[in-house]
Amino acid sequence: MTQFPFEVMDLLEEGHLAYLCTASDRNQPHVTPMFFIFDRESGEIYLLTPFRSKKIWNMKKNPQVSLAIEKLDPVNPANNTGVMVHGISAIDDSLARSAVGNKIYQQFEAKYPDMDKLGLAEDQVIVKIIPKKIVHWRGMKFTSTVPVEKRHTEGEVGISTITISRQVGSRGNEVAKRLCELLGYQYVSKEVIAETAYTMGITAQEFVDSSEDSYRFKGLLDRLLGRGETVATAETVVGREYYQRLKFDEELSLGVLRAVLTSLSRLGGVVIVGRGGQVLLRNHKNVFHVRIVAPKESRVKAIMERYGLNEDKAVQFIKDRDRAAAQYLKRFYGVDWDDPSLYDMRIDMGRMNVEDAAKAIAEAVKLGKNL
Amino acid sequence: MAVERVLPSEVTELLDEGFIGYLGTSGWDRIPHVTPVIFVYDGESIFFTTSKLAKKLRNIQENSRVAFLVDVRDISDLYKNRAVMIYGRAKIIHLFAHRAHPRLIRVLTLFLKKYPEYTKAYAKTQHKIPKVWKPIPFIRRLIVQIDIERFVYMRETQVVKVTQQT
Repeated sequence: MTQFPFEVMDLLEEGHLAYLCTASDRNQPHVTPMFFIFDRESGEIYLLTPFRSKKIWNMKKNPQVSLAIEKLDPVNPANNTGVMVHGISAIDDSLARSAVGNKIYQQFEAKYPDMDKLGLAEDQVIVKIIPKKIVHWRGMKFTSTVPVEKRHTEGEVGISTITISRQVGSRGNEVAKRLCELLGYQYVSKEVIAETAYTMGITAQEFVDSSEDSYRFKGLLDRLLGRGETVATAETVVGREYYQRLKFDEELSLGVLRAVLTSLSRLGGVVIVGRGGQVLLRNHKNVFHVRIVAPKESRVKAIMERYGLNEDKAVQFIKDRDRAAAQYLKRFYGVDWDDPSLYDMRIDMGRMNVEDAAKAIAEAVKLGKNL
Repeated sequence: MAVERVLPSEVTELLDEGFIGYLGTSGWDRIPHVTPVIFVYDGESIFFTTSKLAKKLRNIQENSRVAFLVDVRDISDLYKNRAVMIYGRAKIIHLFAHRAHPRLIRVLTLFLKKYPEYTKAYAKTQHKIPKVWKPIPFIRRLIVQIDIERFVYMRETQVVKVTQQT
């Protein structure tokens, strides 16, 4: 159930017309007046439109849309109310023949009894719009809302998200996966983050995942270009440009990552491994931070097994990864990776097996819930 | 391009009659944005004002392509409407740099004539009007001009071809 302020709900139900804005692949906006219905239960907006229309064409290329719905006061413009909804559209031509589609048609007929007069086109399709952001105004007052799907009831402040920071070779991933099984939580992989970013309105191209693993290369490049003067002029220009672009991308994706992780943690029921979750979700009351470490010998052994390396190479591999992760956290968040104040719990895998470690975390989370 | 000189009378009538226009913009993030604006048409271009803080201004700076819809209909009969959607290019006019420009003075006069209740009657309570609606320019406000490139004329949800006058 999606939550909206009541004022917004009323506007969405009473409004007669919605002004729909789509954008073409050349980023040319397109605005049209539309009849619409709002389903209070699902919090979704439905439109009827001919399949062969510019807006459908646009929505297929770019599902992002905006809708403006207004109620004008004929006497005093300061009493005008309105709402702008930014959402993601979904065109579903199978919907028309289903029971849900029938219900939507009935709702349309109830709201617009004379709609037949217009002689609707044969190829009408239902377009569903899932609101992502809402701005509403009454006269002079503007308010912005982000509808949040609530899986947990209000008032419950128990732990619903776990972040795990692990040393490479400490079997932290296995612990995280077992923990998900124990608690029925979802494991947040790279794909889950990218998908969440997408539904939040961020495309994959904009989303550059600056994870700890890939940071070493950037760190090296950074240091290399940071010298500046010793490089020839022409190269410096090119190099600087590239460096600036890279830095921008990193900062952008960091913002995206923060937004994605925050929204995931609000939904709850997730286990986030790595990606700076312990810092990005610091001070969030419903998040539990775990640090998993292991003795050096067992880490070397695990890496040798996993990647088929010899002992020297495995030692070097671990050294590189540790340094990369430490640098990543230092540079972007200014924290020390091993700072104990970042974590609620620290597990040494030299003393526990995967099963016990997962059970220990699950137990700690349950106890935290009872607080 | 002198499209604006050959706009058919159906379209110019609508532009004169319409009280509120819906401006669609889309910035580099490609998230479309639609807002109601008050506007005037000076016979060539469409003008509206915006706050420097508005999202639409940021979008226009990133992408000057805009869509502008004027929809005239009576609430008592929702199904009878005339509308025109204009594709155009938005141009930001920094007011203080062109203060004495005769065309802009004309535009401001048109605003005062078309929206007296937004200007004169509310002059006393100016501080209460949302920044986005204040047609009286002050230091934070900018005028935006839309040069018309293409238009679609609609009547009762059907696109109607209207001939251009020469």
